[in-house]
Amino acid sequence: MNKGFLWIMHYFYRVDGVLDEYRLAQLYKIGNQVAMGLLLYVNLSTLVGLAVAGKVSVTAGLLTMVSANLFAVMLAASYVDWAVSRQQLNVVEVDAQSYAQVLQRLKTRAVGVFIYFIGLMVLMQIVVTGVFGSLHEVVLAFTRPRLYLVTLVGGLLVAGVDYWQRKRKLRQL
Amino acid sequence: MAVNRVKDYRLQQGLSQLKLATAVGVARQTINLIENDKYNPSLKLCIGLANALGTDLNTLFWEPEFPSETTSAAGGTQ
Repeated sequence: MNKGFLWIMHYFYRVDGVLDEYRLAQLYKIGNQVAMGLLLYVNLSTLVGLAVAGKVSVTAGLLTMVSANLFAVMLAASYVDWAVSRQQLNVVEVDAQSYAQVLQRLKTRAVGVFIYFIGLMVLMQIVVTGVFGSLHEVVLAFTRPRLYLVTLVGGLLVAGVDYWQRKRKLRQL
Repeated sequence: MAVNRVKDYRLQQGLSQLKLATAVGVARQTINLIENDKYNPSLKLCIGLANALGTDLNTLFWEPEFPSETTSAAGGTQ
């Protein structure tokens, strides 16, 4: 199977470990259910949005559709999470000998997530300040301690949650 | 008649579900489901299991019909 496809499946469904034929079949089933649900929901929300646009205003109709679609995406993501957890497709089982090694790998990954988050925050700061302000404002933004504090705290939080979630899915046999 | 002797052969070889799963390239959960007849593996996986357990498909998944069953199926009792 295509490595790129498998990576997408790992990333999209937030599963780790081996993706064998059984797990893939279950993920396809979940994906089909979500796709059908989203299709139905989007059709419905479009109708409701058009009705609101006709009765109230175009802006209200647009806002209705946007918020309804955002809600649908959140619902779909929650359903995928729930369905994957229910079938234990995201559980990674290791033997006692490999457990420490796998745990160490998770810690290394958490450090990577922390660094990635910091890089992302810095990039966003540069882009947003640069687009809406000037180069001078970009430089100024990096002199404020608040940026560093928010980045540090956010990075620790994101890395910590990522590590905790992956450790929770790890089972020692 | 189809049978499932995966667990028997696995225990004979002294393998854990995790070791067999690693040898075949699937998750332990899948081996557990196969052994409990909750999942029908593909032919490719069946062959992989047979190779990993040092046996063949017939021995692992098929029970030959007994002569008495063949006779009664033909409509006669002896």
